[in-house]
Amino acid sequence: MTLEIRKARPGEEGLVLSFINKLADYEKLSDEVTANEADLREGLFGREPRCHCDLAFWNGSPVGFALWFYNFSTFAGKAGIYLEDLFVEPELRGKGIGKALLKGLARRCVEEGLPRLQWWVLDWNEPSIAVYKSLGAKPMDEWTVFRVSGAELEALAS
Amino acid sequence: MTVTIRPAVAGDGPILITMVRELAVHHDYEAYFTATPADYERFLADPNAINGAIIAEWNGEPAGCATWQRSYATFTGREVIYLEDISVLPPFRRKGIATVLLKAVAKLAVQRNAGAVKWLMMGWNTDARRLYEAAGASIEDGNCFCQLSGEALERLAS
Repeated sequence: MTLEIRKARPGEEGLVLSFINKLADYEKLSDEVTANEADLREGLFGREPRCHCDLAFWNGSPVGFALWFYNFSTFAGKAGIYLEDLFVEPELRGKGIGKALLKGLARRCVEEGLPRLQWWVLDWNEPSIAVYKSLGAKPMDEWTVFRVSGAELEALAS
Repeated sequence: MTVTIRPAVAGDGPILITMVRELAVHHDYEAYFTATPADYERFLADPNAINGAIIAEWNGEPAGCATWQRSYATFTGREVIYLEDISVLPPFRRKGIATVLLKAVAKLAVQRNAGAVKWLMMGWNTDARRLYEAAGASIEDGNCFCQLSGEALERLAS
C-alpha cells in the first residue's frame, strides 16, 4: 500500500474539479460551485497562475488533493501558504493521507522560510478540527470574515 | 481638503510600514510585528508580486493605506482579492479615508475580474464592522480560521 504525492499537471483539471465538487458536496455547498475545467486550467497553469495543486495517489489511484497558494503577512514581512481546499475520498480516510498532504505543505513552508500555514474550516466540521488541533494548529477564534461580492462589489467599485 | 489615492511604488516601504505598524499596535499585535521596510520594498519593486498596496493622501500627505494580495476561490474558479490591512493614521481618522481605500480595493478587484474581496476583522472592532457593513460587505458565518506556525509548523514539517 503506497502513497504518492505530486503536483497536478496540465490535463488534470477534470480530476481537480471532481475533487472540488466532492469537497463542496461534503461541505453542503454544492450549489456554490460554478468553476469549470477552463477556469481551473487558467488558475493552475495559465499565464499568471493563481494557485497550486498537490494530488495524492493511493496505490496509483488519485484519492485526494490539496489546493493552495502563497499569501503575504505584512506583519511578518514574509510570504506564507494559504490552503484553500483539502479533500480525501471518504473510503480512504484514516490512513493519514490528509495529514501527509498537510505535512507536505508544512515542509514547503519550512524549506522556503515561510512562517505560517493557514486555512479555514467550517465550524461544524469537528472531525477535521480535531485532526488540525492534534497537529498543533491554533484556531484563531477572535477573527470574523467579511466579504463583498456580486452587486455589492460592483456598487462599491463604482 | 481632499483625499487622493495612488498605488504604492518602490520607495514607499518606510511610510507603508509606519501605517501597518500603527494597525498592529491598535490590535495589540506589535509583538508579532517583525517586518522591515526592506521586506516591503521587495514586493513593491516586483512586477510579478502576489501583493500590493494603495496609499491614501490627505492634501498630499500620506494618511492611510490598504494592503492587498491575490487569492483564489476554487468553487468559483476565480481570483479573489484578499484585503490584508486597512490603516488610517490617527490625525486623519473620521474623514472617510477608510471607505475611500475600501472602494479603491473594490475597483482593483473589478479591474482584475476578481469575483470578491475578502478580509478579516477582529470580533471586538465594532467601529470597523459598521463601516464595512455600510460599504455593502457581509459576514461569512460558520467558519473557523486555523493557523500553524512556530514550533507546531516545524514539528509537522519534520
